[in-house]
Amino acid sequence: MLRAEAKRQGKLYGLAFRDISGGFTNTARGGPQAFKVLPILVYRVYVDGRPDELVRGVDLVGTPLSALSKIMAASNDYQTFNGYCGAESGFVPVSATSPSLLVQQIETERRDKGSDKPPVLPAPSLLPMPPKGIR
Amino acid sequence: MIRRFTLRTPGVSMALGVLALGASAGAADVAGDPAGRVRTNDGAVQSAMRDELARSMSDLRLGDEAHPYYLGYTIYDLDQATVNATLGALTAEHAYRGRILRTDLRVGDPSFDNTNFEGGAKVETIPLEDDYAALRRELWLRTDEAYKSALETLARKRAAAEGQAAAEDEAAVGDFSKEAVAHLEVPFPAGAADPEALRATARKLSSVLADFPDIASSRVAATFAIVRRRFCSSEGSVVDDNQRTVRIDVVAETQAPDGMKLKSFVPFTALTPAGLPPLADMEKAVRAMAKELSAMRTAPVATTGAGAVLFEGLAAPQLVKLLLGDQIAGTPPPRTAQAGSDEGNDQGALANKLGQKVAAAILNAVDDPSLAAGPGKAPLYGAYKIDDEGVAAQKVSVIEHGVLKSLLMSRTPRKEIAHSNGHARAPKFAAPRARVGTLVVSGTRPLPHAALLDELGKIAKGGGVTTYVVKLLDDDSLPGSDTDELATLLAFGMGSHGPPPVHPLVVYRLDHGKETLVRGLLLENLVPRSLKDITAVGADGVADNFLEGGAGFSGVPTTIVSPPLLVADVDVRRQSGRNRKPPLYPSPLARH
Repeated sequence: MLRAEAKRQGKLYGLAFRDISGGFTNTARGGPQAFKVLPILVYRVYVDGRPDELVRGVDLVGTPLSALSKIMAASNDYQTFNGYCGAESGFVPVSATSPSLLVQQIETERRDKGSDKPPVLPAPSLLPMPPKGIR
Repeated sequence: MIRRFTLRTPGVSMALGVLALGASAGAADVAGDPAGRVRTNDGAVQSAMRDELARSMSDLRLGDEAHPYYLGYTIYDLDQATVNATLGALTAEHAYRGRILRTDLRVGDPSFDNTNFEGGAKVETIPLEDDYAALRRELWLRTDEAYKSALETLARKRAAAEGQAAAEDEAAVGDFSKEAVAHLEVPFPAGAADPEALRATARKLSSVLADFPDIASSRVAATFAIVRRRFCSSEGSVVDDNQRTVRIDVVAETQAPDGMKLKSFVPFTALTPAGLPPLADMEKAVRAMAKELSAMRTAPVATTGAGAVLFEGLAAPQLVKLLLGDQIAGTPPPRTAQAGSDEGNDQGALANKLGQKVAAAILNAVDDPSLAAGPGKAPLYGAYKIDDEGVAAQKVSVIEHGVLKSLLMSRTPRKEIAHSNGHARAPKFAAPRARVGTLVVSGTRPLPHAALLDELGKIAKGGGVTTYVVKLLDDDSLPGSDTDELATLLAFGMGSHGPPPVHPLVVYRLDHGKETLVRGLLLENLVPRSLKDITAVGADGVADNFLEGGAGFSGVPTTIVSPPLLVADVDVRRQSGRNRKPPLYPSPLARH
């Protein structure tokens, strides 16, 4: 269905979000009622049947009502997450259950890359020689 | 209001679970544990430090930038039990174990490196178990971060130095002195910090206060901390030692009928729970404190005026801490990127007075971390062999006959003193700098107690001066500080000049040889130069053991020993301000 919808919209691929680390939304009166979701695992699903491609640095942004109204389909594969929600009252434990959802259109944003260089030396676990004394 | 949410889908926790299993299964052959579930090896911590240190020193280099010229790792194993009790019942109990790493990486050279400038210590929590691979991974990442940040800091420091006219005392002083390599490995005694070791004592000591209905609130806070320190440096120093500290504070508070707040406390310190005084002795001390505090409610209020004060008991070392504690540290304050005067910086007001008279001629002060026991075989928190920069502790004669002879030094040199004397000490989450170890104050002509009281009597005869004996000063590290008091302190800082007043808790007024308990006085303008106003020194020292810069494991175990000190000229002020009324009903404890 994702491929068909992407093809119909004239796009090369759709996006499949498999996991997210969290997100936040502004609920204050007068604030923009927008949300941002920070995904961890995102795949490009190509319309031409190529294998899915893992991508990085994609954030989801949007406004809740319009995002909800763009849901086209829901699956029968319910999953539950347990997490903590930081509300006006402080962090409270929350649970939510949902099937996989197909959203017709959602805005994505490229994540700030940061400028830290990777470590200078390779990880010690990648060294060929086992350490002394503990083998 | 921003709402945030974090979540974990079942899919991902599954994946993590599999990874963890894989790791522990693969580790079975390295384990000391026959079941192969936990990888531990007593040598793992040392080996991980040594191996990553060697690799970093030989290979760590970013492009054309300098490689490290010095690398030191300190790993602290922290183990602490805390038990609080009130009126015989436990109110809280915590046990904590953790392991932290402090990385000291230097680029440049000892005459000008990235330290002694802006930016603090690199301290991170690392895995608790002796797992070689996990520890090495942390050491690798933390060293990498420290290296990059050192390069950045050095560049900023160079840029700042270019733009500033060099202060005269900074020329050719350098940043890191060359010291002998240290080696000390002390076996780590078995046994953990167990709250059980404190429970009965906390309950019993707190229950003593149930017999005193005039005391409105009271609490006992008992802490037992064990810190194992492992240090190794690219210079070849290796240290593996440990320190134990036990401290029990018994704090009581009440109000006088006129609303004045009154407080007293009695601390007990030891190196192990078994080293505490016998329970009966501690109960006796708590009872005496409670009796004195109850009597204080109806004691007369002191009057404002000139005073001569004999600081005795714990008040003497407390006064020394206040007047001398931070002043004799010779580590120069870090340089800053901002040009301008550092007149606001009062760190080490005495430090620039080497060779000058800073105290009365009868006063001597020695810092000797090698002392094994204090007066009356008192345990000493401030005893150590090697400091936190891997330098052997030396005995330093700081004040001789009132003249400042030397300063406590870390490896950051100053113009007058080029080398460390083994006094670099660090709260666990900060960088080392020179601090007191075991500071012992003594008099050139020590007087017995009766003679000290005679001295006070003589001063009183001169007229115009009220004489006091102060036995205990307030201590801001006590558990459960009063918010009203805090507000007073803040208000003070905004409105007035001069140092904050010293708040004595237990004070007796001396009239014609008779001691009368008084309350409600503050001592003003007690500053380092007040040391010159000491006119007599007693004979018997009292040891004050405390944790500087943090409670429990995080602080620096420190001892100050001082005999009674007579300060001839102190401004005494009657405590002012409005107090809340005492509770409307009497204490429920008063009914049976």
